[in-house]
Amino acid sequence: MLISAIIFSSVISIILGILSFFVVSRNLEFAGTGISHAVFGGIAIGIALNINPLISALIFSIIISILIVQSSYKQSENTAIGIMFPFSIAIGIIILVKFSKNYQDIWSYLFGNIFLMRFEDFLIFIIYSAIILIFIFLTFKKLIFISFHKELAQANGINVKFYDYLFFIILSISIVLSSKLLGIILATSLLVIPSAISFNLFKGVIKNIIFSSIFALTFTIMGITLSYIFDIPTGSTIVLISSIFYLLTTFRLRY
Amino acid sequence: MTILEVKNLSVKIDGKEIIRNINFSLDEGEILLIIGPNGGGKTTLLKAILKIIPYDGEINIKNNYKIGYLPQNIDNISKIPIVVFEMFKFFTNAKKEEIYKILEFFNLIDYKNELFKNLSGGLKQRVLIAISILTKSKILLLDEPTNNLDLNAQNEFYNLIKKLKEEYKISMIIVSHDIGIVNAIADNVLCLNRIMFYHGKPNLTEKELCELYGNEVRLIVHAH
Repeated sequence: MLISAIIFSSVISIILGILSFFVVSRNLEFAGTGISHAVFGGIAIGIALNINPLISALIFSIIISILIVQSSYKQSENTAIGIMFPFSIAIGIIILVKFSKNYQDIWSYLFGNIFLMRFEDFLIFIIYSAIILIFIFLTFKKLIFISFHKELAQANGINVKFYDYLFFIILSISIVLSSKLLGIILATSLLVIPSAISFNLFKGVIKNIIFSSIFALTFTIMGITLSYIFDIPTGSTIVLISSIFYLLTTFRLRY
Repeated sequence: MTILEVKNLSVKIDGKEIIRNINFSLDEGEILLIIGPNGGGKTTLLKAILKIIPYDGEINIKNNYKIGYLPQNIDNISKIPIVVFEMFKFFTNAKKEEIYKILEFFNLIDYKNELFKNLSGGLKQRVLIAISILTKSKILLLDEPTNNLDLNAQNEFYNLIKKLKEEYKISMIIVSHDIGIVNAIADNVLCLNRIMFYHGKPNLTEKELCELYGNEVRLIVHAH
């Protein structure tokens, strides 16, 4: 169990590490938080309807992220997220209180429990991971250009709106992926901290992506091991370790 | 030889008319200066030519040539930790030797491993223009390129413009408030304040330009 938990967490953490490059480059930290709360709404729907919450969460969060991108063209992204975020939580809470008797299950998604994985969950995780990796591989240069300057990318013939939708959908998938590892509440930590650290230390896109993934992977393996040994929640342990690393690297740079 | 032709161009944003009935053409190697008060639609005209905003009218580009673009305020570009060489690698399809050649032409070799966001305003422009040239752009649209540059960087910039015109026969549309300096290198001037006030040789005196415009231009002229 520990071994398979480590293998799957490693894959997820590498994916989150890569995506964190784009999230931090584009100042989308808050978007991650917004989508992770949409995932909460989706998971509540899944539990209430008795379908796998990993699937309902994906559908619901994709809808929310499309709404976020759509409204971001009218108002700022953060305004859109600021509205969608409580909206999803509200839906989640109403559904849970009204239709669900099983709070235990939602607990494992809120705070993560990588050791509570069913075989079906593993299958879903493999599919989700494959979709994200293929997407990044196929659209890498375009994503970099858009992260650099949206208008310039557009002037170079890139359909920025289309790739924005895709990117937000991919972000949703990654947060659903990380919900079992880190929990919804902490899901964005690995979408922000690895690159926040590497941006402080390294120059260049490729270097930063590689080191973001290495950081994410290291924190995850350390977190799982420590949480296993001391019997404490995995997600929180990972977040604690990565935050401490972040503080250490910024401290080192300042003094 | 005409490389760009703009016919009856109008742009509305959210139902509000920004520019109306613009007509002009640009020759190969021509430098066209666009002047006009803020909010007069200069940037909008550039974006319409780039076809990144909806417009009415016709914009014909010879052989569908690529158009390079230097946006306003490139100092506010995102915090992505991209180094100069990577930009050439990711934003163009050029081979390594071609990249080195262009880096040399633009005196950028020493900066190839530097973070773009840490470069000075003048260097940032040079990098972006070099990338446009490498992507085979035949027309460059430069939006207030000298706005945040000190005098030295401004001079360097104008020397670069001249070099581009001579070596690569690039056509350029430059939006600027530096009427005096740009007049010296511009072949034609277009005065824009929602509609086109004037299009032709820059041999008009500043006084005449002011008359075409009213008081607004006088303010801009004296600002420099």
